[in-house]
Amino acid sequence: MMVEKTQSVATEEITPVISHGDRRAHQKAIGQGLRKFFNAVVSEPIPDEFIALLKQMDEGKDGGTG
Amino acid sequence: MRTNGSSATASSTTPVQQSAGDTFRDGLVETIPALRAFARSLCGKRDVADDLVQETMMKGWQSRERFQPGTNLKAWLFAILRNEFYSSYRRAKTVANYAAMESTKPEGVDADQYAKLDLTDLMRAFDELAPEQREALILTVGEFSYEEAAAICGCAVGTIKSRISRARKQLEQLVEGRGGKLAVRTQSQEDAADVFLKKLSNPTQDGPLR
Repeated sequence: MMVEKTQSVATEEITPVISHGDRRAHQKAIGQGLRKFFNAVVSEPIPDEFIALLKQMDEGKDGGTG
Repeated sequence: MRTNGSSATASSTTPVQQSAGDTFRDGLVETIPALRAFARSLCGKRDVADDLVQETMMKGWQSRERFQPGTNLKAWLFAILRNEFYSSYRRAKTVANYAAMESTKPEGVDADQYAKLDLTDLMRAFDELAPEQREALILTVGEFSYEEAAAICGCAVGTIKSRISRARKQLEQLVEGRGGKLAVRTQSQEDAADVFLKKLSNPTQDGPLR
C-alpha cells in the first residue's frame, strides 16, 4: 500500500501567505500568550511539597546533604 | 584539644556567611514561582517540572556558598535548573523514559488551564519546539534581558536572539498551518498601539492618520 508521505512536505509549503499586519499581530499574540502562560504558573500557589522541602533544608541547615 | 577544634570550625563558618545564608534562603523562596514556570516550559508536565524545581532548590542550597552575594540569584538558580534539566534530558534520551519526558502535550489540569487562557494551540506548538528554543523564549518573557538569558544558557546574545526569532516563526507556522488559533485578543484587549499599527498597514481603511 502506498502511504502518503505527508511528513516530507517542507515547512515552507505550509507557510500561509499572510500580510505584514497579520504577522505583526500574530507575533504580538505569541508574545502575549507566552507571557500569559508564564504568569499563570507564577501566580499558582506554591505546592505543599515545596514548603516541606524548605523545612527540611532549614532543619539540616549546617548538616551535610541530609 | 577540644577548644582548638571548635575555634577552627568557627572560623570556616563566619557570622557573615550565616546571615548571607538567610538572605539566600529568602531569595530562593522568592524565586520558586518563576523557577516553576521555567521548569514547566521545559518539561511540560507539572509533576516532572516541580520535581526539577525541587532538585534545583536542593542543588542551590547545597552550593549556596559558591553564590556571590550581590550577583543575580534568580539567574544563578535558573542556570542550575537548566543544567539539571539538560543532564536528565540527555540521560533520559538514552533511556526509554525519554518518551515520558517528551510527552509534553497539554493534558489533565494543564489542558484545562490552557483552554481557560485560550492557549491550547499555542502551547501545543510550543511543546514541539526544541528545548533551546523554548528556554530562549521563556527566559526573555520571564523578566530576563537577552544578555542575562545568554549568560544563563552559556551562549552568545546573538544566539539567543536568533533562537527566539526562529522559534517565533516556527510557532506561527505550526499554529497557522493547523488552522489553530494564537492567543486570541478580543476587541477590548486591543490597545492603542495595535490600532495604530493597523492603521499604518491599512491606511485607507479608517481614513488617514491624524
